[in-house]
Amino acid sequence: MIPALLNAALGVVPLATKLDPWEVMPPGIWLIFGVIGLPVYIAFLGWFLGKPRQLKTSALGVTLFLTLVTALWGGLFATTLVIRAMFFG
Amino acid sequence: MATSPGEPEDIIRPILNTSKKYYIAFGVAAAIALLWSAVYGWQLEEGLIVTNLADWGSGGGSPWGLYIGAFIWWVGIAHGGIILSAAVRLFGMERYQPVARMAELLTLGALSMAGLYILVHMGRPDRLVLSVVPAYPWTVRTSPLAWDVTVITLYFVMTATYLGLTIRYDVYHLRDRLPNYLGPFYSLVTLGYSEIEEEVIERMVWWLALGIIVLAPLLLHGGVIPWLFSLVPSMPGWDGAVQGPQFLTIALTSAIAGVIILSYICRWAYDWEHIFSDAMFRGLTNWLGLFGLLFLWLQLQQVINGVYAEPIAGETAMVARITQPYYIFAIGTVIVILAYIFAQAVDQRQFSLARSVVASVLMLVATLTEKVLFVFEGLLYPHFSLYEAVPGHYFPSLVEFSSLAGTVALCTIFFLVILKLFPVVELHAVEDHHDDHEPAHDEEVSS
Repeated sequence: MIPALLNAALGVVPLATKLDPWEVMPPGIWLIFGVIGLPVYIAFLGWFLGKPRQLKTSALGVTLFLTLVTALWGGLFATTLVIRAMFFG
Repeated sequence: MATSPGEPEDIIRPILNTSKKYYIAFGVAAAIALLWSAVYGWQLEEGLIVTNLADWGSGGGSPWGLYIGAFIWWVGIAHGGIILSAAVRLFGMERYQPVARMAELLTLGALSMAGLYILVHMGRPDRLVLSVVPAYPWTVRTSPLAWDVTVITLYFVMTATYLGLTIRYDVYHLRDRLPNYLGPFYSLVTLGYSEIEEEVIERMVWWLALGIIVLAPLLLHGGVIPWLFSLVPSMPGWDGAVQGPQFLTIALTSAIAGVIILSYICRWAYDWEHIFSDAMFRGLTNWLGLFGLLFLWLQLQQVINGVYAEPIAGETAMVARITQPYYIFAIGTVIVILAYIFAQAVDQRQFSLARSVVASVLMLVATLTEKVLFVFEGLLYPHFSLYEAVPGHYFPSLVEFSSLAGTVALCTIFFLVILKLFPVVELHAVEDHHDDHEPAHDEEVSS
């Protein structure tokens, strides 16, 4: 009885693991959001935790940062739409 | 010799006065930009067939050429510009404070031109945003192109934030001398300004400078941009970890050259000899020499490795590179420039502003040539000499060459517009020198 159970249990134990670190943590995830992002995170932390600090001014900096990201990609999107209307409409 | 103090009136003169030189420069730049937009319109109508780019492989051509080479070149100029400004703030390099903002603006102008080149290089530029943004969560995992888009966005935004924070002080303190018709713009720029924020802003900009000085040289032009090429295993001409430092040295060389040219033009146009002193230009020339030397040194590393006992594919690519007349021209030009810089370093009498400006222009020509060659020769010499017998070659068409004139003209227009909006020299650069009664030799030491 017991050997039969053990035999059956062994059958479901994987003999090899298929753990591909490239799939678990693709390079872009740790390179971009870990390493490349680090100087940006440090700058932001410095704004909010360093001295002298002022919440209003730090918030202004963050707002400016986010507005610029939006304006950059929004502006690019608008430009591409104009190109589409003029040349590929 | 220390930089002579200027007056606040000096730095707002470009905003208040418009000279004949300004109108001529604007007219010429606008004409060139318009002409190129017509050429680009033609390319949009007909497709990339009007360039000399062609299908790779059995097509016998190179799909990447001047457009991608110029993209890297502009990114390189951009990266070095803000590094200079960040170094001034972090390391107290006071001598270069007058050109710090110009360097920041060069970053924004040059990065915009680099982005434009991506648009211009696409067969269907109207699909750019929608092909990048929705797929981003997947592409960022493994695609160096997605990484590239990320870091360029970050870099542009960090630089613009840096500029946006620093001009608040200048605009606020100069507001009563600035023209009223730009009032809404100045109100927006100084929104919520209070004098107690000055110390905080100064510290916030310091933190940003710290981020930029790590991000720009080590991670962008010394990392992500070269990965676009060096991670492609099938092209021995692009291969190798040396591309990181190699790209970085070329970027810094190009950027210093760009700053020298821009500063010289402003000095000539606005009689800013007392702000942009000869000593400052000589210092910049020496930096140009140092980075140029590193550029050559890493080229030599690649050449020696490529011809000594390299596997056949790498040797083929390297022999093709070093026998290419344009490569010899580029490297020879850098050697001649370095000879001048070395001569003026050991004998100050050899220095002249005109020579340094000519050296800078030639340096930009040399770095652009090297970049374009790097891009398309890498593609033309793949492993296994796969397409050895396929006829075809690449030389940029007039359409592609015209883009260089067009982007330089657009960057010029960008600067001409900025000159009318806010001071391109920081108010601190003038004030600090007024407050500074230290002996002149202290500045020599600090720089």
